[in-house]
This record gives sequence, C-alpha cells and structure tokens, in this order.
Amino acid sequence: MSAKWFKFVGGLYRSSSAYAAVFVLLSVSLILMSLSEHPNIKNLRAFSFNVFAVFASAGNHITSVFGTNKEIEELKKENAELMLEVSRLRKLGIENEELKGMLSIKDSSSYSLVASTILARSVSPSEYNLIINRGKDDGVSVGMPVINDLGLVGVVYNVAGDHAIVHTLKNTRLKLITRLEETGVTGVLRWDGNRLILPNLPKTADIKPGERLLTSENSSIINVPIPIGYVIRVLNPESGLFNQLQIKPYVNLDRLDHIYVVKKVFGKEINGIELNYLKSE
Amino acid sequence: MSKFEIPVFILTAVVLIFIQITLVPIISVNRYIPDLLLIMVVFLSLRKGQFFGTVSGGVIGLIYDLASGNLLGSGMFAKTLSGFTAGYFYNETTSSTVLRSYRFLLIVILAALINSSVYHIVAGYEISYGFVSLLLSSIIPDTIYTGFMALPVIFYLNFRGESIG
Repeated sequence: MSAKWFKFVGGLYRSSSAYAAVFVLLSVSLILMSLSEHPNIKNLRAFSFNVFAVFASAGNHITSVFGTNKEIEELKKENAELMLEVSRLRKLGIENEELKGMLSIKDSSSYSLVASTILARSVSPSEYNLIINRGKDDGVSVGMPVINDLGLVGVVYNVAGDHAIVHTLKNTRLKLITRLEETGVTGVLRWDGNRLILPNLPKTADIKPGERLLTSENSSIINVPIPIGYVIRVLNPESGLFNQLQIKPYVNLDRLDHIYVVKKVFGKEINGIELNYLKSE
Repeated sequence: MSKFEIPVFILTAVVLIFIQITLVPIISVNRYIPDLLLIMVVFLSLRKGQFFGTVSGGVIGLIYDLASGNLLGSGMFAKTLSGFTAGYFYNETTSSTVLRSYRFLLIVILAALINSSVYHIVAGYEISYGFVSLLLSSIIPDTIYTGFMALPVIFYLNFRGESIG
C-alpha cells in the first residue's frame, strides 16, 4: 500500500515539477520586486554588481589599449565643466533680468567632476542603466548627478567600492523635478518606456517647441541647473486639462564615451528629506 | 546528464550575461537589442525539458538582474515564464531535430514575445498608452532582433551535424 502511495506521489511530483518550479520562481521574483528597494537587497546588489564589474573592468582595459587620447578626455571634461558653468550663468542671467537688479543669493559652491568610464550598459526600453568605474572609494555616492559635455546623463543609483550603477534619463524608475528655462514652469520628468515626457503642465503656460529644460532647484536629487533637453512638441494641445510635453534629451546615451559624476556638496541641504527614489538610502 | 553539464551551463550563462551587458549594447538599433540569454533559456528548455528550462530561466534572469541594475526580479519573472513556455515544445526523441530546424526559431520568437511583454509590464512600462503601442514600439522590434540572433545558433547546429540530444 505504502509503495503504491510513494509511486503515486513520485509520479505526481515528476509530472508537476515544472509547475512547482514556475510557481516557486515566480513567487520569489515577485517578492524580490517588492523588496528591491530594501537596504539589505541593495547591499546584495552592490556586492553582486561589484563582482561583475571587476570582469567588465578587465574587459574595458583590454579595449582601452586601442584607446582614447588623454588630451581629448581632458578637453571633454573641461567642456562638461563649462556646460555646467554656462547653464548656471544662463539661469542667473534670466533671474537677473526678472528681478531687475535685485541681489540673487545663489549657490556659489564649485563643481567637482569625477571622470568615469562606462564599463557596461543594461539596455531595454524600460530601463537603461550604466555601470561605471567609480564608486565609494572615489567619493561617489547615491544621488549624485552624472553628466557629459552636453547635459544630464542620469543619477547614481547604487554604489560599491569602485563601481556604481547609474540610472539614466531613459529609466522608468527615475523621476526628476525639472524646470523650463524661459517660462519657469516646473514638472516631473519621466521616461514612459518610449518617450521622455513632462506631464501635467498648465495649459495657460506659453510653452513653445525648442524651450530648454533644466533640472530644478526644487529637486531633492539634483538642485543645480543642468541642461536635460528641449521641448520638441506638445503632445495634447487640444485635449485634457493639462499639457504634456515631449522632451528630446541633449545626451545621446548610445554614443556616450566620457561621463562625469558631479561630486557636489549641495548648497541647499535637504535635511534628510529625500524623494521616494532614494528613500531607502 | 553528465556531471560537467551543469557547471558548463552556469559558465556559459555567466559569459553570456557579460556579453549581453558589455558587447550587445554596441549592436543596439534604436535601443532595441537582441536577448542572447533568452536564446540560451529556450535552447536549454528544448534540450533538457520544461523543468530545466524553467529553473535555468529563473536563475539566468536573477543573475542578469543582479549584474545589470534592472529592477530585481523583473528579468527573473520574464525568463522563468519564457523557459516554462518553451518547455512545452520539448520532446526527448525529436529534441535534436527541433533545435536544428526553423521550429527553434519560431519557439524563440514565441518566447521572446512572452519575455518582452512580461518584462515591460512588470518593469514599469507606461501601459496607459495601450498594449498595441507597447507591442509596436518595443515588443515586436525586440522579438525580431532576438529571433534574428537565433539564426546563427541554428546554422551552427546544422554545421556541426552531430547529435546534440
């Protein structure tokens, strides 16, 4: 009797093992997704991508033998610094005009750039991430903006000893408070998997294609004005209560070579209040 | 199954993940990239059966999520389902033939459709634009590219000629 019973259970097990496996694995993946922002999970990820990045770094050293000119690297870094400076000066210029000579007290701290190399990319329509060769050991920490000489690339999401993961603008999980330069309208920029959009803007705002979009001083992640892109069109001019803009980023993520982490101690402290994006840090 | 097969699979998976993150983005076309890991999962499902394909899909997806910085669990979820689905076409006696024929390509395409659809939905694609928009803008291009990259595998298996079952 018991032998028959074991045979029956064994047979059932064999026929349903794939179903059991899919059930267990899907459950585990759902649990992992729900816990993905937990600090312990983030530490695990930092460890794992650090291990992976060591190999990626070795591969990168091999390819860099055919490498890039040092002088070009330095010039690109200088361009990035100048881009930040120009952006800050443009903002001050517009404010100066608006305030008609009133003193504007703005952040006067300098920007320190950490030159980085992209070791690997994770590309999908929903998430475009970069793994770079700079981490905690270089003073890089979570939330620091990453730029190149054209504008904002993304934000540091996770750091290990000497590597970091950067969430680029084309990542559905990155949401940034941004400001249109001329009209001063602010909105939350996000990647919808297909386009970079700025939704829920008032219809009354006179926004025209071509207007530059910058990071906003109201952002708890990046509160220095860094160019992001420009408006290419209003998506729903005739319908709805709000306007939705499509933004063209200045940075072409597929052609990135030199990028820089803005190692800046922000003049405007957030006093521990962070957006949900960085809440777990 | 020989005692070396599992370590060989794991090593191959790790090498493929490395290639997927470092080299494959170089051949991206307008953000669309082939999913080499999915081709491996389908291959394993058709060669070793549904259980093996499901588990390998889950493990490969998890390692990829850990290495890439993607939403943890999203790749695991999609590849588990893909491996499970591909496993339905497993047949011990015809496995070698299927892997060398156009049927492998069709199964890769089906699995890629499932993988891409599930991944985009769980990873936060703005589904409010509608599934058709998602299908046209992301899923179908990804699937075609992945299917295209499965062709060299079929050619190689045909060229090699010997039994792979």
